[in-house]
Amino acid sequence: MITRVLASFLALALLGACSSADRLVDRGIAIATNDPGQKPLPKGQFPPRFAALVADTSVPLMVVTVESRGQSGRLLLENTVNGIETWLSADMSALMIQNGMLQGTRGVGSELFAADISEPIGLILSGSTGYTDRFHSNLTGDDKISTRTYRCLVENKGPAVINLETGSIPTRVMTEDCKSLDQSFTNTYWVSSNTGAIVQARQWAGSELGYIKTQDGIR
Amino acid sequence: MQERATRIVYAAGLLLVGITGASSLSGQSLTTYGTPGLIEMPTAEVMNDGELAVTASAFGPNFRYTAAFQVLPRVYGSFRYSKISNIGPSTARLGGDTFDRSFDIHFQMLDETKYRPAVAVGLRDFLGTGILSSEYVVATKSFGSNIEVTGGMGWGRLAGRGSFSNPLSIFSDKFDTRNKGSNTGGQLETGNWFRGEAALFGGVKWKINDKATFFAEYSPDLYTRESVNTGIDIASPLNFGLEYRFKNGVNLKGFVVGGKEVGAQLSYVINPAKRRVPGGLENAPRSVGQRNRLAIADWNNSEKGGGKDAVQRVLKSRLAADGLALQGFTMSGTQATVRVENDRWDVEAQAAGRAARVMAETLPPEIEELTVVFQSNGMPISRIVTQRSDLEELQFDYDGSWRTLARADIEDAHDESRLGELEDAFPVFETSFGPYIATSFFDPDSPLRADLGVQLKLAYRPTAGLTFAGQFRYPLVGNIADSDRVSNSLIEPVRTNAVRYAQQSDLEINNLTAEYMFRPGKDLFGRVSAGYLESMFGGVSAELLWYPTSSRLALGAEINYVKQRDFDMLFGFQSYDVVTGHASAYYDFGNGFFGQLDVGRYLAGDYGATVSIDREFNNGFKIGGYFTLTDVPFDTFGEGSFDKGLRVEIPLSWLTGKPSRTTVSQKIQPITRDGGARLIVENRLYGVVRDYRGKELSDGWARYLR
Repeated sequence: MITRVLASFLALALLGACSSADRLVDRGIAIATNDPGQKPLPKGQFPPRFAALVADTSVPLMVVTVESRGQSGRLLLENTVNGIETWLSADMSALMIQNGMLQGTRGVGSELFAADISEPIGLILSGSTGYTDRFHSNLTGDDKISTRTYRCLVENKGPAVINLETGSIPTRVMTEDCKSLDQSFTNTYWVSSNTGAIVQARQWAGSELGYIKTQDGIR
Repeated sequence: MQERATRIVYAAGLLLVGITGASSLSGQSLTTYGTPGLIEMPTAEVMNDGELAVTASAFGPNFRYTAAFQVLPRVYGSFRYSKISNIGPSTARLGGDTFDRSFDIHFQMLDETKYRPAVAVGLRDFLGTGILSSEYVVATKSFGSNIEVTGGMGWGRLAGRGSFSNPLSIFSDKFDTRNKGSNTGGQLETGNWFRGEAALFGGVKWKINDKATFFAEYSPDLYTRESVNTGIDIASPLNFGLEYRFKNGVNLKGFVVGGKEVGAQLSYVINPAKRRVPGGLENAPRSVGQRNRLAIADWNNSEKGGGKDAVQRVLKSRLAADGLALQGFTMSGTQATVRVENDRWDVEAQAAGRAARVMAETLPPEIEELTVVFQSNGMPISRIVTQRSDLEELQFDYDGSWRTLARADIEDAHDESRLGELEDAFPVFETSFGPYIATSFFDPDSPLRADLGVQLKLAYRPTAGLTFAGQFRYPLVGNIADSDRVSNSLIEPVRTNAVRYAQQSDLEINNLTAEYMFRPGKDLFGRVSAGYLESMFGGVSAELLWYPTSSRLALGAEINYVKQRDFDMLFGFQSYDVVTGHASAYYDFGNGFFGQLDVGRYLAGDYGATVSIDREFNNGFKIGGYFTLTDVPFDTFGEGSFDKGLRVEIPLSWLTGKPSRTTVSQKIQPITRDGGARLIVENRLYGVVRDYRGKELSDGWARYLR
């Protein structure tokens, strides 16, 4: 049963006054950060689900930056099911990652509900150039799923050495240039020449969130 | 009518035919009347479908507060509360001020094309006492993306300066004369529409940049009735305005009307179809699918004391963490069922998804079929059956929403037994204490009255379906009781004594009831309530609802015997009693429109029917209206002629991004009278049941995996 709360009709007028972006910055994925500009959550205050991952020092860590919000943080790997990893933040939002590629988001103003990236994965990991399709489904503000197909050109941009927390790593830079009728974006992936895995990526998570950068990190 | 109007406008439109490319017209600029247009003059524009605009404007003696809603892609309606200072002599009541409620409607007949302007017809103040009444046909054409030109013909208020005899008179002499406000307000003034003299109006809107827009218009409105006492000075037909749009979407407009009257207005357009945080900020659900790990979990391991009881404990705490109260649990073979009460999720399909995932992440690996039964006050409503392997397979699928829906079964839960009921599921004791605000609108002495106080709510549920509940209020500050409006009703004063209830009470017992909700059979729901049902009436109430799981239609019947309560809102009754009740039909038209028809006998003993229409967005944002016609004649009813109202309901989650069952709602009744008044009873069944029936669950399924 829905509780009915009487409120002045003026409440409607106030809707315009506050912006959601501020709250997202507070929340987002910035909690477990060591970035001096951000306030880390004291260790004892982690919710149990995240605290369990913090306690287990064998759990892998990922460094994440949301460019549009100037926000960065560290996520811990909670689970891997059918090749899709769930990386959890201290505030219980999550990114889904498949072979280093962004497959979905939850609780970050979750635009990207799920992506079918089976086609580009092959080209990017093998260093090949070619056209592929990728499919995104977004959860809209009206609680509907909207699906889009993007046509993408994957290209090998040659080698580059990058510096991560894990050390200096020789990589191959791959770009994925995608377009739909009304949207376009370019994802960039750095594929380790040592392991063949994506160790750094800059990927588009929808028009609202923009680009997210992910990097391998160490505990 | 429409065809005639179209012909007229084609003539006017000839002046406006342009050759530059078409651009879509966006009606984001609002007039002093709070509807799309220039400064005072309407344009043929509409807002985007579903948008809601709120506007406050002031100039000279005029103050207008308007809410406009784009009901359909081509139709908007608006409700306005306005004040005109000193329109009467200062010796009159309220110092000559007049307060008015008015409704407008606007229909865009033609879209803009490359060569043709958009064309619309509209009625302003078509229900009220008529001070603001006018009708118009208008055409608007854009030239490039920054300039729009509008021209039109108006009647009523819009036929002041430069008026000429009504061109519609060629069809009938009736169009020659327009009566001055003739009834008690509230009736359709059809006899006046498009009657009397007519005049032309027009104007230009120039979008200077993304933030600023300039307006110039020719207005025939002479403010004749106002000018006698208010001193409003309309020296020129030309009005000018400049609007600035702030980053947060608020529009501020400054303007000059009639060359001398300077005014200002604030407006804001809301898109209900967009939550402030799409997708929401709640925690990510756990991923499911590692059954092997679960096989060795302590609670599933009999060597470590695991078993059904241990599983139940873990389930209960995990469900509670997701806002779901576990009331029953059974597990046998490959099947498990949880019976839960949803205390958190405003999108019920999401609650179903969360419950199924908690099961999939907890139960031993051999369990395959997961059943979630939703209960309300302990009464089972529906069950959703999901295969665990489907959940594992589809949780990250890009088409997972549709595919999980296709594989799930939604069934009626009438035959759900109480087997496996948790020992501590009942009794339930709920209590809440907090502040409340009660409001009273449109008293001319003080249009917004409010009481602020503290409220205590108690509920005790000894067993499934049976609830004893009470709500008590104590007003601390406020001015509702200060009103001197006494009932002047010509029929039984069942609602118009609200002020006496406020004046003669201290501690209010708003309701104190015993209620039993039950399932008499398949697709059937029953409710019996007795006690102090609402602030003004007490008695007994019985209701039966027929609502098949996958049906768009539900039918209900309710019968009540009630007695009027004493004004002190304590335990006593007055002598008036009545048998009241309705037969109701509820229908989901699809596309977000819901209709309801109630036919029966109302509190004052009058017979009639209430028609309600709501437009409900998929995210739960709801805007609607209703009217009631009964056998009480219009002049006996009094001001307003018949009961009608508007209502808005906003899910708290829409505002905050966090899931919640709480909604912010407001009903706006221009006038509360005694005809067509319906008894208020808590937990009418349709409202309790609908959220968990098939249509509503599948509409929310996009959030099943959220």
